[in-house]
Amino acid sequence: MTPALRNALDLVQERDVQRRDVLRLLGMSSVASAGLPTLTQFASAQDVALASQVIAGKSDDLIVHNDRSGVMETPLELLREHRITPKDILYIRNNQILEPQGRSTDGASLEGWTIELMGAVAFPRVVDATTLADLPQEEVTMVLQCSGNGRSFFARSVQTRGTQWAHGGMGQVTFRGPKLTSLLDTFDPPLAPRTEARFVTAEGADAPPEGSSRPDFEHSMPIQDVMDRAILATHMNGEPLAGAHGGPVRLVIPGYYGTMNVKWVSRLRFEAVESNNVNQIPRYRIPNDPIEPGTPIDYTHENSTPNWRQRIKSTIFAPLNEAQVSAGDVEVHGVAWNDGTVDVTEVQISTDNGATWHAATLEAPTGGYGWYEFRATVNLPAGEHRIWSRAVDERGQTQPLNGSILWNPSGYEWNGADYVDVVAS
Amino acid sequence: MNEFVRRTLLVVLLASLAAFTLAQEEGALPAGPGVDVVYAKCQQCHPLRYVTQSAGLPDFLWADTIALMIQLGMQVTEEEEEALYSYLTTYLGMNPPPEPSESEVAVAAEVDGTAAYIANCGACHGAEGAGVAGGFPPLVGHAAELAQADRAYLINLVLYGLSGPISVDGVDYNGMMPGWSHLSDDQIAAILNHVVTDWDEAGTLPPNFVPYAPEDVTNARGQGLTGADVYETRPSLP
Repeated sequence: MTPALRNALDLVQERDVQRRDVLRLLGMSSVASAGLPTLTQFASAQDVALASQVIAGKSDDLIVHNDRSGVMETPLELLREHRITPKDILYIRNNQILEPQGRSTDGASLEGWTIELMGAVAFPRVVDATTLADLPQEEVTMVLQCSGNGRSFFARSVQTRGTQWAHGGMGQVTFRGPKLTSLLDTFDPPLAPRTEARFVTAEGADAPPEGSSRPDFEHSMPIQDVMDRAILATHMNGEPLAGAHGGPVRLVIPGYYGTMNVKWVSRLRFEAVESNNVNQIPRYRIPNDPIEPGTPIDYTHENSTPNWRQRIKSTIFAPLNEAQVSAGDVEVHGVAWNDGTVDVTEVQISTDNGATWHAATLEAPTGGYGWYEFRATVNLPAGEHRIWSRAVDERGQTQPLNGSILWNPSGYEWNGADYVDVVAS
Repeated sequence: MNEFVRRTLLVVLLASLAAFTLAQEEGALPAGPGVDVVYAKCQQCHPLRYVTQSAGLPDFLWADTIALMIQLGMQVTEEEEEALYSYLTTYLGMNPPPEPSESEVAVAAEVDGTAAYIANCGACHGAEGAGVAGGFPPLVGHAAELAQADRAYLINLVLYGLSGPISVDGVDYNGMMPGWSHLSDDQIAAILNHVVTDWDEAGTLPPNFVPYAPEDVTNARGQGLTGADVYETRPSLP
């Protein structure tokens, strides 16, 4: 019996949970090995299209969550094979998709692409995107992560709604393009936002499906982080930015969750208040104060914060969950990261459920926004073990052992300490 | 009782059991009142797994989710909204019933094909079968042509879905239509007859076109086809 199964069955006795809940609590990957029938077995084996059918150039190894707009997850076994995640296996999450370039990993042309700058600035401007290449270029290697990554783990306490990502809603990529401030400086006089501008709201050229009453996607970010960090990215991993990932131009804010890195950026509005678009509120935000798992919250601008800066987090790449390992010394390997504001100083490993922790060796990324790679050796006698990892930063911020302390109905920003269950023999 | 009666009763019992079992095997959702509305409304923008993998949401969160889906473009009447809430909180809530219960929806022998089409297919293909260019293919005229070319193809398409690139009226589609095997034989036959005969603009079908019968659908079940398999059998049209 796997530790996960035992854990779930303990919950059954405690809460008299129905069998379907047990299966759900086990999580998707372990159910098949437990040999129990699942709701998903009722579904036909092929109830979603393959990744390459949805977006040309994507690997069919990707887990397709949504084959309409394009939401795909990288299996952890594949993600860990690359320091820089190649575009064919990089996760993708679209609310809307720009046709036709959004349906391909080919680069998209900058010809004819314009970006409007407007709002609390001296004059509205329209920028010809082909001129971005003439500006000083900035390159940043960063963690691109969906704010829903890890959502499925909230179900350990209470199920949340949304795409049930495990670990693969993230990757490490290198974006290149001019800083937004470089662009603003090209105007004469420089296009400085007026003092009342506290937010930048970004819109993309994509639109909701024809005939839909769905509001057009947009996001607002605090102006200081945008001015400090934002890049108008035209290249990813050394080549023109894939249309699927926002090409020809994407607003990239290193350290911010994926949703704020607006694809196919076409307009930036400098404004005094956050947008009231549905994607700004109630979506894509978390409560400022913890709430009990399973309780509602009426989101306001005051009681919650959008999915802006990424929470400190670590993910174990090896061993994989449910691995069989040889008893004795076991190599543990993974990555950690935060929002880039301060350094990650330590990744700690525990094999006694948090009673004791030991520091892993840590290799810092170039620049503050990428993956820190950690390695440790643990000695495991024969039997079942749970290996934990948690990252700590210069401020002392770390990951909660129980990630559900930060439960929210839409399951955003999971950053519970990571763990894998292994059997040593 | 005599041997004949006993044997007949046994056959009837086994047939009912088989039908019940078959009903449980078809479709991804547990049977229950309102399940048709879930199938009809909840696959327009995302696959059904977004629903099945949300099993265990607290009641307030199902209500909140339905409200969010409406904000994001789902169109439902008040009755449909209530049916969704009732089904989702019962069968995909925190305390689902231990066994799926038989559907309380009585399937009348005479199914109104137009109403059944609108309720089940209209959200994607449009109440008038016009579809959405690039998103969901139109059925007007097109379905009649398919029926004329290969009668069985449309039954398989509705039962098992379709996966692969197609072109209709010069517009390309590369989506994935899910299967609708949870609908009854009567419903599928009535819907196909509506779509094929009421929208035969070009007069493709011959005057002696034999309407689809529920038995045609019964005989097509159990083949275990995938949408890709159905695509392989797609007739080429003139």
